[in-house]
Amino acid sequence: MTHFTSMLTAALYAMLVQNIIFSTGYGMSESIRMAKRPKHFFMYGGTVTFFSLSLSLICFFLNKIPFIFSLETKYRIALYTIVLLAVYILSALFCLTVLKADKKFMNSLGMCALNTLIIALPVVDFKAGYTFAETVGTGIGAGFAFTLSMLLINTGMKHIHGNRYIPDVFKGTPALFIYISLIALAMSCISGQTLFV
Amino acid sequence: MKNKKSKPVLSLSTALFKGSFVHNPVLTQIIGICPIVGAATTAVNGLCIALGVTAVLTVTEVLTSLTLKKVPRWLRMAVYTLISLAVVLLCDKYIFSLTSDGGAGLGIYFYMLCVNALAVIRCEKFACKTSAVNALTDGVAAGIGYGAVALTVGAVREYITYGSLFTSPETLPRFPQTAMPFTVLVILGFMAAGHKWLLIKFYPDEVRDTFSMNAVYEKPEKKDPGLFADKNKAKPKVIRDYGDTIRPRHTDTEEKKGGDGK
Repeated sequence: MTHFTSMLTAALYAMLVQNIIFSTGYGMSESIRMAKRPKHFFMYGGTVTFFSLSLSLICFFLNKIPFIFSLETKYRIALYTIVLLAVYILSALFCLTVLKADKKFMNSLGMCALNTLIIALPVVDFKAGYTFAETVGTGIGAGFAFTLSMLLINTGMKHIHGNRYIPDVFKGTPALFIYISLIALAMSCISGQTLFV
Repeated sequence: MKNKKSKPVLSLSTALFKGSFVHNPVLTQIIGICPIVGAATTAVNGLCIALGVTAVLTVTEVLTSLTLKKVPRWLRMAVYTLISLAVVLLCDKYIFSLTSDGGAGLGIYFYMLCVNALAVIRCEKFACKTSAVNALTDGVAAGIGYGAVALTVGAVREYITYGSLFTSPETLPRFPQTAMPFTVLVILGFMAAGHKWLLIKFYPDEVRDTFSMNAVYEKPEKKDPGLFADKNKAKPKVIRDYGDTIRPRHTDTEEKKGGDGK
């Protein structure tokens, strides 16, 4: 029960309290780009969750090896990147041969797997000294955070598109930046950070 | 006979200008903003990110153009990451020597340039379809454009936070809030607006809005009809008009009838 509670707490923390996309910027450009395709949200979210969870778990067990535990940050990130590439290539081969995935899915698979969010997670887990349950929770929470960010950004895009009171020069990308900044501000405040106090 | 398929060849300076300013990857397409949001906290850090991205982009694009054209796309994406990782690991100590803290302020963001979306997108859209020289030009141009934004954001943040520029901040920050991502996004929003204003003024044909959902951009001579425009004449195509929820819209016809719809 304690493990389940820790996992759930870590997942909710990564998703809501300190949304990992809006509070750190990891995977932000991917979530913005993918937010333009609402039909594929759950596919993208599921794929990101798969990669975040699998990489976090593999790296959790790798960190048990003393040599890897004592690695410098740069070599640690290099190692995690190579592990991620291995997971990505195996998943791609599985999708191509067994699932007979189409070209579109294969293109999005790369975008979902090779982004800063996935690479940053095991580093964050290591630095925070998370337990196994917390690592699982963070992996799942990051995927859900990604889905949530896509939903929020997509909603913002629709509002910006339909709003005629936005000045011409702010229409499109500038307004979207401001909108995302407001969400990031809201997320920062939820996590308990103070602004001018 | 004129070959219809041939594309006009741009001069080097035009290609660099268009790649870096007109089609700026951050301000027009929001690509690869993670290191800017997380690491460009001072001007020097912004410069480090700029140099790192330029190095990654240049090498990856040239190698892609030379060797990866016939490799399947899903596998190419893995190779881009490997090349970028090698570049980042090789050039980190040279770039970190610019900083006073040995790159500690950049955190893990510098090494995460190996999975930067900008390199993948530029390689896929351009480098794998063109010659090595063109790929090199594109890599340098996109790197300059990205670097200019990173440097500007870093300089603005440093100035707001410490009241200094390009000096090692030893005092306590005046506004530690600038370290939060929302500040960067606000700065980027205003930079994107300024960039768009310049494009509308000097290069109106080049204005393309990636995030307008349906290419809603209206040409500058067509003014927004505003609150009192005729519904039938100038109603823009919108998905949902959220403006109407703010205050009711009156039309010209209502005004002609007597102002209050009688």
